[in-house]
Amino acid sequence: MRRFLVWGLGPQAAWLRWRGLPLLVLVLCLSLTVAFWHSEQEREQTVQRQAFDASLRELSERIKQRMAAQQHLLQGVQGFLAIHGPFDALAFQRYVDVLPLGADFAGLQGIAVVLPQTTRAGPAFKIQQMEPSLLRNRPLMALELGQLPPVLQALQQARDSGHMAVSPLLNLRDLAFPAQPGFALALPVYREGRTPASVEERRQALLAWVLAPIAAAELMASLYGEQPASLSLALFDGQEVDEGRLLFRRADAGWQAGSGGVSEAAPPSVRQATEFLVLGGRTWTLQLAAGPGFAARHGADYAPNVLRAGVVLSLLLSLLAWLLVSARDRAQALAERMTQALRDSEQRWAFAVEGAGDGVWDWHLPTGVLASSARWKQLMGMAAEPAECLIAQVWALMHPEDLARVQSEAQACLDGSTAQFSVEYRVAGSLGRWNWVLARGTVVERSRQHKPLRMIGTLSDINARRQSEERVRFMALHDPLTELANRAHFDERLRFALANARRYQEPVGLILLDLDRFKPVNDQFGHAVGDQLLQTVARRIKTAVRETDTVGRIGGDEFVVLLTGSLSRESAQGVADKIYTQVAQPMELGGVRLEITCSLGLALFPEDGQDELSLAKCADDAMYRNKRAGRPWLGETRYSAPPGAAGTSARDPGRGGPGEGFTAP
Amino acid sequence: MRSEVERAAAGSSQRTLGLQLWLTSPAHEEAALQCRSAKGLVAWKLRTVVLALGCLLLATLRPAAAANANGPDCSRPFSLALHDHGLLYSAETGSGIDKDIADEMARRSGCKFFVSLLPRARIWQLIESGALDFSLSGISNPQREKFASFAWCFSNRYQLLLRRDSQVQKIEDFERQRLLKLGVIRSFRYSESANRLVDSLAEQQRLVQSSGLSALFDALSAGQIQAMIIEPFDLPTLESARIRELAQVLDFGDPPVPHGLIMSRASLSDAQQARWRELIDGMRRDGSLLRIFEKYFRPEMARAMVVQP
Repeated sequence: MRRFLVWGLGPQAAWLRWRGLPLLVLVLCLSLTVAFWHSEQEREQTVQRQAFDASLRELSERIKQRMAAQQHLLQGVQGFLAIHGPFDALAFQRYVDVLPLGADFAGLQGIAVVLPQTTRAGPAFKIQQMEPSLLRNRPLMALELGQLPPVLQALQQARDSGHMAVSPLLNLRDLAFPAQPGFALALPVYREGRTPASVEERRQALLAWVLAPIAAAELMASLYGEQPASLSLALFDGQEVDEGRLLFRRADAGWQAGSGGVSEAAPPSVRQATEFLVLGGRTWTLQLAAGPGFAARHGADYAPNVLRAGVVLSLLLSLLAWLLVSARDRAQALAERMTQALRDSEQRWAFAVEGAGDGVWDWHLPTGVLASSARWKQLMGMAAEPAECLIAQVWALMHPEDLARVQSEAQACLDGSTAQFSVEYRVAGSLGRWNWVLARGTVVERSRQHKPLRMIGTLSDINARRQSEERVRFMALHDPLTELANRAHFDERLRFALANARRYQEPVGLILLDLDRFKPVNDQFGHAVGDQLLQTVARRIKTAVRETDTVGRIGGDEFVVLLTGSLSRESAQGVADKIYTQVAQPMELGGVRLEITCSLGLALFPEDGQDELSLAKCADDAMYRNKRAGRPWLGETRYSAPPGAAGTSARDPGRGGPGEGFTAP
Repeated sequence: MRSEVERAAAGSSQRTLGLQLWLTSPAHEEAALQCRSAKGLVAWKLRTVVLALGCLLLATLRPAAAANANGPDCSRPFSLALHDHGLLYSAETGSGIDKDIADEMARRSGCKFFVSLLPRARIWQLIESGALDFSLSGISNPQREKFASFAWCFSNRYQLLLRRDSQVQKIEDFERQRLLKLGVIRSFRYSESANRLVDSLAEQQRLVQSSGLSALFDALSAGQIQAMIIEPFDLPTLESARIRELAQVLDFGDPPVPHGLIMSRASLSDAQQARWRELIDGMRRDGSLLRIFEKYFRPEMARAMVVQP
């Protein structure tokens, strides 16, 4: 059904196209084949008919020719007798002796002279002489031809017509010859050699007859020319096809072989003809029938081959047509399958890529157009439309600090320096945030000059990873409860600040803070309240210091503050005061109203110490002096250690001092 | 090819056979022997001269030949063949229209004719090859015009003689009935419609060939053929009660077809043909042809046939 929609064809039109066309080709080819076959059959039939007619015509001509030859022979005898006067037996014998009676006159049994006689019983027809004189001819001399109706009929017909007469069928046994079908030729001899005009005059002028018995089979054997091949012929006396009147028969060799060589009537043939031969006033019927091999001898095997070849070619052509038509369809189907496979693959990849939360981009370098997936646009903070954008628009979305690095990495990949392009950068997100993304790409198409033409790649959202990393790093440097710098981080910051202060001759302040009576609170209200108290104190300390200052927690209830930047002892003490005041504010924790104070100690670089350790000790001493006093120390140096206290700790030996905390590596 | 050569050689030998036999007969053996002797040779020459002078004298004395100075050239004998066909020529009676015309041609021209009786097909073959000079009552067609020319004597129509039991009333119906056969004389051509019918039936193998007309009438009577094409010359047969009872006559409706003297282009020059054509025209002009036809036909039918085509 989808195919129909693709091609825009209805089911019937599609059927016609896919099956109808080969069928049409088949029908057309078969029609042409049948037409050509029919035409060829007609042509063959015409050729065979013409060949058959020619054979019949030729055969009848040959028979007439042979009969004419016999007639000419008898006419010679007729002339001899006519001019010779009284019958001279010796002259007749010598005449016949010199005749070249041989193969040319095959079938002629001899030449006889019959003299008309009148007896008491009426006319008699006796053979006066038979030449060549052979022993076998002697019985013939005793025969009364009047008792042989065929011979008598020929004699009378010849006498009355003045022409040669052919007798009806005669068994030569009746003339004392070996038994075989034959006939007799009779030619009248009139006085003075002229044929009288009327029948009566002819009868009166008759001198004799020339009579020649002829064996039909031998006569037919002497026909000129080749015997017609694959043809059966039969010669009948009279016009009726009667086996009793058969003069001669020759069956087709192929048929004879099948019938054991017996000369019997040929089987009915589709091609047979009859011709009447009128010879000497007698009609013979010549029958000719084509044998099985006749058609083949005249190219009759071509038409079946035309049919066979035509059918095969028709089938091949229709098959070819079907292949051509279906090839297009199959190619279409293959293309559809490939397209589908590609589409599926794309979907899988899109699913995989989209499922992984990645976007896909395709950068066409000559135009600078970048096509991308919806996810890419989402990650880049772009609208879904349009589908394509310019690379310059992409650059504009990147964090200014990252742009140069990204372009540098991209250029390295385009130049071929690196096979893969992989870079993390920030793009502007919602609410003014920057989101981290990871772009990967590779050049997939280059010109012959190795110039990059196309680069594709993916874009992954790494914001969460980046935040996680930030968090881990933060957790490594900060106290998890108060999110203040932990001891290590604060120590690092302090070292950095001191190094910087030494280089630029700047002051650095260090404030140590310890909560007063924190443990009883903790014990009385529980660790949760204690923790909340610590968090609250931390927030209050942070609000009391400047942005550039660093607050850290270095123990359970011990905090430190690093003061950098523009600083004096007065401003540092102000900060300490502010911290003290903030911390001392009452707080509501877990339904409990608490008030807590803290002890503070301040040390300044370079006055109170030259290094972290001395500064810390100085601040620690100041803090414990205040703690022991039980109240904030008031005065110019109320948060500072007393002179000379540097280097000696006033800390309670039972507690860990801050020096141990943030000065130890 | 071999058989054709043999056939020609055999025919030639057969023609010379009679003379050979005459020469070798006892009656002439002595004369032949004398001719071969020196004495006989002188006598032979003398006899030849006398004969030649005699012939010359006779030729100058013959009025017909003298009167026919523009007539045909009779310097050689001519061969003319008749064919046995009803009133044209009957071998049985030895007479017929063609024989009468041939006799009149011989009389008027003073030429010597060797007349023979041959089948029609053989006659056309010999005319084409030039072995035969003349025949009679032939009709023309483009193929025949290539080897023969004609001097028209008469014209007649062709008709179909059809057995009544064939249940056919029209010639077209006969063509459709595939079991019906038509008897024809080999090599005969007819009028246009008749030729078309014959050619159509030949393709369907529905022709029965014959070399003589009588055989066709017998075949028609016996039911071996159901029809045959007839001409006015076949009227005597038609007038037999049996044929009239058995068959009916259908007209092809074609115009009369001219018949005439057939002259072989291979053996007669154009000038000779023109002279013979003039001789035939003379026979028509002086009524000789009409008289011949009136011997065999009613006067009005004879006039209709002999009218100038």
